[in-house]
Amino acid sequence: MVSPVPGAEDRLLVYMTDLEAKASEISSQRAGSRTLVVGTDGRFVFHHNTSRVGTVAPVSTLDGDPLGELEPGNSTFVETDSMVMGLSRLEGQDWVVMTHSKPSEAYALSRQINSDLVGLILLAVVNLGLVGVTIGGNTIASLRRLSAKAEAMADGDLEVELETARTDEFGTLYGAFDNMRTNLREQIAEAESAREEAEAAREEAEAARADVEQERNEMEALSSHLELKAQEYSDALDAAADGDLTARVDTESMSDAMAAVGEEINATLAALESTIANMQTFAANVLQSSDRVASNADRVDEASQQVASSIEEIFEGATEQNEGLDSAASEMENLSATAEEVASAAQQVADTSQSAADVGEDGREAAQAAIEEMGEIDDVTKETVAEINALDDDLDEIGEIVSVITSIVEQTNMLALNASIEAAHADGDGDGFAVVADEIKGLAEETKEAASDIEARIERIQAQAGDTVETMESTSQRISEGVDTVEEAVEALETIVEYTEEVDTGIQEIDHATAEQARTAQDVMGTIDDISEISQQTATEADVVAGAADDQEAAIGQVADAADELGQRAADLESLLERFRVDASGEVGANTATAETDD
Amino acid sequence: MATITTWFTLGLLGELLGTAVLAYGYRLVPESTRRRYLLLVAIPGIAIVAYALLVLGVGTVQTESHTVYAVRYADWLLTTPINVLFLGLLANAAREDLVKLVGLQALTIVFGFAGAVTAAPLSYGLFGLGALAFAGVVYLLYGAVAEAAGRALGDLELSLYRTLRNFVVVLWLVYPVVWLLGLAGIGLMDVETSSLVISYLDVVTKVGFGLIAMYGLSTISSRSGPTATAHPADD
Repeated sequence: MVSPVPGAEDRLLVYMTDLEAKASEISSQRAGSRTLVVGTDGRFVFHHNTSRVGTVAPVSTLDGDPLGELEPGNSTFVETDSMVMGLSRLEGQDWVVMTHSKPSEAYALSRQINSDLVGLILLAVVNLGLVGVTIGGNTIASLRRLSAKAEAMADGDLEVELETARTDEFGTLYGAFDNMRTNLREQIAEAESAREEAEAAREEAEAARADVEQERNEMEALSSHLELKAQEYSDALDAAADGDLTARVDTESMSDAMAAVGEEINATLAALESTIANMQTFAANVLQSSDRVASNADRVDEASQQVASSIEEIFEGATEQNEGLDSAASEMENLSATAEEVASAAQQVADTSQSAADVGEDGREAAQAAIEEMGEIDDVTKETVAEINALDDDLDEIGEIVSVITSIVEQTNMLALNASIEAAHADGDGDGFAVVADEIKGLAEETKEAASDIEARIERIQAQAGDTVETMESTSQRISEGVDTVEEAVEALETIVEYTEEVDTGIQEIDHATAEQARTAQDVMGTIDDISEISQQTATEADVVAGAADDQEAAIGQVADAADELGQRAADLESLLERFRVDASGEVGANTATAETDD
Repeated sequence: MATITTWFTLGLLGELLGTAVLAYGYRLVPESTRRRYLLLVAIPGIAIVAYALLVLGVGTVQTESHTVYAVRYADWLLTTPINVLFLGLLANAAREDLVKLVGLQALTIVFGFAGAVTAAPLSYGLFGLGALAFAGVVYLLYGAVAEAAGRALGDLELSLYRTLRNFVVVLWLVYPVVWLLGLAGIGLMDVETSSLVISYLDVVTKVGFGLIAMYGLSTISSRSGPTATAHPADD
């Protein structure tokens, strides 16, 4: 872009820009729309698609040629089916800036606003409806209802319901109506009660007049009635004076005083009648009772005699019992003593058996010791046999040695013989050899005799040793047999000890049992003593009772006499009371119980 | 710019808060109405599940032209019959009327959903059937059920019935308008805006219905106890 610089004609301002970048920038300034620049000749100057720069824009082919008609600085608006365009021609250039977008996008805002407006209107309608229904509707309905109630009250119906849920002026108004109705009700009620009182007073006055007339009539009837009653009472009292106590007056009367007098008369007569009746009954009862007493006294007398004889028998029985008990006591004592003796004898037996057991034990121990000693002897004997055998062996060796010596002696003898032969050969000096040879010969024979003697002795010793060994072996065998015998004796002793212990235990038990028996006998004796005492007391008391029975018998005789006398007096009383006539049943008024006729 | 998930999240929070408040209210209402009151707690409770699924982007049906949130219709299919059932029980309506109310209300939702997933001429036909079913519901609520309420209820309960009925009818009428203006209908409202409006409506109708009923029931219990006995029609 080149522009002349004002005031400096030889200068130009050159402004270079990247058309492609600029075109894209301009084109996408607003979302959903594109901005392009078109020359007045209808060719694109700026286009976001640079390949189309210089090509013919579709807008230039529209009817009316909007590009050509557009004056510099003016704007216009073109709408097609697919596109909405705003065109604006620049003043300094033959360029038209063109912004176009799709109709739906261009009108979205407008539709949004419309939609929101409708929504707001609906919300307002909702709120209006809410207020109208809750507040407005209530007000009208309340007023209508209240006026209906007021009309009903005006027509005289005071029972209409005056309630509302409202607490505002309507509530107050309802309250006021309610108060008014209450006051009206009270006043009407007062007026009605005043009228009723006046009517009641009139009725009372009329009733009083009727009462006065009735009283006058009654007084006249009463005076004639009183005369009649007085006569009636007088008759009844006359009959009573003649002894007839069953008569009564009629207490039915117009006068209360007269009726009271009649009742008093009746009460008096009834009291008198019941008293006399009681007395008659009483006298009869006394008579009957005294008869019974007399007969009872007889029976008691008889019984007393029987008691006395029974007591006598008891006394005798008790005495016998006492004697029996005495003998039982002495027998028990004997029994007790015997038991004690048995106990002591058993104790002795026990001691004896204990000592037998001890002795048996000692014997067993001694036998044990004997067995041990015999064992030892046996051992020693065996050792001795061994030694003797060893000695025998030694003697055999000595025998052999003696044999050797004997053979040496024989050789020596031979030498001596030889020497003597030599001596014989050597004449002259041969006498000396002959002497030596004789001496050697003599020595050898002595030695031979000695050896033979030793040999004989050894044989004798050996024979003796053999005898000794045999003897010892037989001794050893006998000792073994002795040990067996002693062991059997020990077993026998042990059995004896066991038996003895068993016997001891049995005796101990007998001892305990006997002691128990002795104690029991003692107790029985004590009991018998007690019983004996009791029977003595019984005898004594039987004696006392017998005395008392005698006394009782005498007292009962007196009672019988007194009963006879009482019977006589009761009979007298009965004859005295015959004069009065009373109701046979004796049933009289309850107010006659105060009888003052004690005799 | 808030996205559609934002509106669903706000709706979820609203339903959570509403359910919590209504659950607390269980202790305030009289013993005798507590079983019935559980229906009121169940309504936003079910909506919590629906909104949680919407936030997670589960349960959508894509038609040729737009996205249908099927989970919503499932929510409405359960909750709106409960709403009318509560109204019917409150009014001591006849059993027959209760069945009719629940059935028609369920049909309304079914036809609305069918219309939303079908294309243009048929969709308007189905929408029309749904509208007829709802008209039946409204007719019953202002006719037979209202008469039953007038016969059986005391002043306070009758007043509560009327308030709840008007509340339901007036606010529910906005739903078909959203249907028509939204992408299922003429498409004047985009999916975000209609989601905003429906979320707000859902919270207001479900929780508001429960709160009004809770306040009414607790007031009745504190004034005079439950007066289920018949009063002479005094209006």
